[in-house]
Amino acid sequence: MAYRNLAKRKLRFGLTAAGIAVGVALVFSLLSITATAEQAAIQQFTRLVGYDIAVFNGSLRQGRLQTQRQQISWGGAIPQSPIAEYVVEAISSLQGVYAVSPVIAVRGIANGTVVTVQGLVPQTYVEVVGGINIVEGEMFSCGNCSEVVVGRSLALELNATVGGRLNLSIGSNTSEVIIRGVFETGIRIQEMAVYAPLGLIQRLTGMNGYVTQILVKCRNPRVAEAVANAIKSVFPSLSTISMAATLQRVEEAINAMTVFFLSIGAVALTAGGFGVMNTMFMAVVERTREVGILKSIGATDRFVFTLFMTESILIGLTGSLTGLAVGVGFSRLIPAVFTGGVRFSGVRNPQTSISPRTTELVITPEVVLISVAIGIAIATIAGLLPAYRAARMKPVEAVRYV
Amino acid sequence: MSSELIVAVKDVYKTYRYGKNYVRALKGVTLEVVRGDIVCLVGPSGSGKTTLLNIIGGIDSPDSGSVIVDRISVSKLRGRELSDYRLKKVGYVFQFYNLIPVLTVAENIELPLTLANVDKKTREERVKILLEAVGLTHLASRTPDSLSGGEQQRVAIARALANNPAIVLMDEPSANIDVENTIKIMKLVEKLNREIGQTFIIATHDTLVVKSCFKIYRIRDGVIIGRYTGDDIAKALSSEA
Repeated sequence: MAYRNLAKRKLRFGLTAAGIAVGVALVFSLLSITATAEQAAIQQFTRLVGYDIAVFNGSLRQGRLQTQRQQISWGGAIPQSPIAEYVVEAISSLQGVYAVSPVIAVRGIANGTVVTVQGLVPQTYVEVVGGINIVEGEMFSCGNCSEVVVGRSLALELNATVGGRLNLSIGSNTSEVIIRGVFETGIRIQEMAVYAPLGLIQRLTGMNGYVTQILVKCRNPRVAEAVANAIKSVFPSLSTISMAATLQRVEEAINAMTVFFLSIGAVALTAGGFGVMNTMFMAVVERTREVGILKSIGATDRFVFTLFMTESILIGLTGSLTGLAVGVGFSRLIPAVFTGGVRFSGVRNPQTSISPRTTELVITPEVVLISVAIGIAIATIAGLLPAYRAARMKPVEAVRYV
Repeated sequence: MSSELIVAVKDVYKTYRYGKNYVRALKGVTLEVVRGDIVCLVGPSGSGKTTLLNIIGGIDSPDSGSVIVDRISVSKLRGRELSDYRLKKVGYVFQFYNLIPVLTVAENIELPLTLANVDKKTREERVKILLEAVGLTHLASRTPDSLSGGEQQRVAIARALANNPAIVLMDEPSANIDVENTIKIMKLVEKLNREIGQTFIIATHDTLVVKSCFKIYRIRDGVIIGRYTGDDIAKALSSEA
């Protein structure tokens, strides 16, 4: 009976359901956007780092690394204070640590171009960051030889090829190195880099027995905070950056975005809810006589209330499912937004742009359920007052209504 | 025929307020109806016929006085009890048929049975019997808007009989149908009264309707001004004219 009453006034039913549909589509799309953004951010973050903890000799203030006073001058090429190499062994023996990789990260010049130079031990580095994407040639395997791999962006800029030679300068020291391979990360700033054996870079910087960073991979990312605390308790002068904590900050930012988007959706849904209320009040007024007949032949207040509530819920359900379909269609456009670079700041910076990769649209059951439930809930709430008014009608007055 | 009283209305008053004005619709009405009777309330428009029917039918309440139907004190009923009374004890046939437009003929007749939580099989059987009784089996799946006034009135009668009510109240049943259909309707009323002993209380000022009544109450300005049976009815009708 409820369905037939709605079907009898198709246009009004459709327009009212459309009001809910717009709100649900908006909520669904916005939730999908934030879910997709969250996944994209985490994916990009993982691609940027890969390790769980980075250990520095310095302190963190307001998110920036402040080096300590005892920084030794290494010709201005080294922005960080060194860490004695024995610390690597000590950290690797801590509980929860899966792998540890010592790194020297310095600025250098390769054939006249300023580059980031990373001295690393290939075996442990791969274990910690999850691998290097070598797209041409191969990774060097020696610990102290004059072989390097270069990023694709750098190779393109220097017109360098596998087997070619580079003059690599750090401070006042220069060494000729052979390019064994080209790596790709998809991030230009990462690809303007030279990865070289740790021993070579220690020799060029004069930092024998020292490194600038220690990258730590934990057995379980959830224990990263505990491991970071353990490192700080053993070596109070060292600082750690836990990726879990950083990710948490990213998630907090995305949660704030979700709340903001949801409030926009809530406004749209509230408007839709008023539409349902208006329609239901009109229905109650138009069908006053019908309510009177129903009550005159024995229908209870509850029956009448349920009848009108069912109509409201049907409007909500129809609007929600339509909105969901529209939202899914609209959300399919979202990955395109995230493909070709995520802007963490307001201005697109080609230096931080990420190579085109497909970002999968995130549609979780929770997003679907929340969107549909909100649509139905709004319609249900909007229908309460009209249904209550219909149920409370006096049959004698309702039957007389013309 | 049994002389058991099925309706006893005693000293009923009812006043309506329209803005600042008060209209005294019933001024101490007393009447009795015996089970199996066809009783007519005859009087001009505004005389209080419909108000009296509404009070007997439990869709309106008296300001004072008592109404007892089938041993139930209607004026004391509230809420669900009152709905239950309207559902099971009374069948109401309105002047404007008042069928539910989105339901078919069969569904309209079935509605009181559904409200009474009768099981589906029993409902279907009952609807079939009622459709046959009012001669509308062939129109079972039609909607009310495709029926003539007379046909709609017959559907309304079938719906009123659905739950085997103690009384059927009919408010101006001939007001919106032609003479031919009025005759058909009243023959149906007589048949139902004769075959199943159904009690009818009919508010009307149509002489064609009154001819079928065993007893008439003349009502004017909210007061019963005469009660007629048998040969007196013809006298009453001529004076009404």
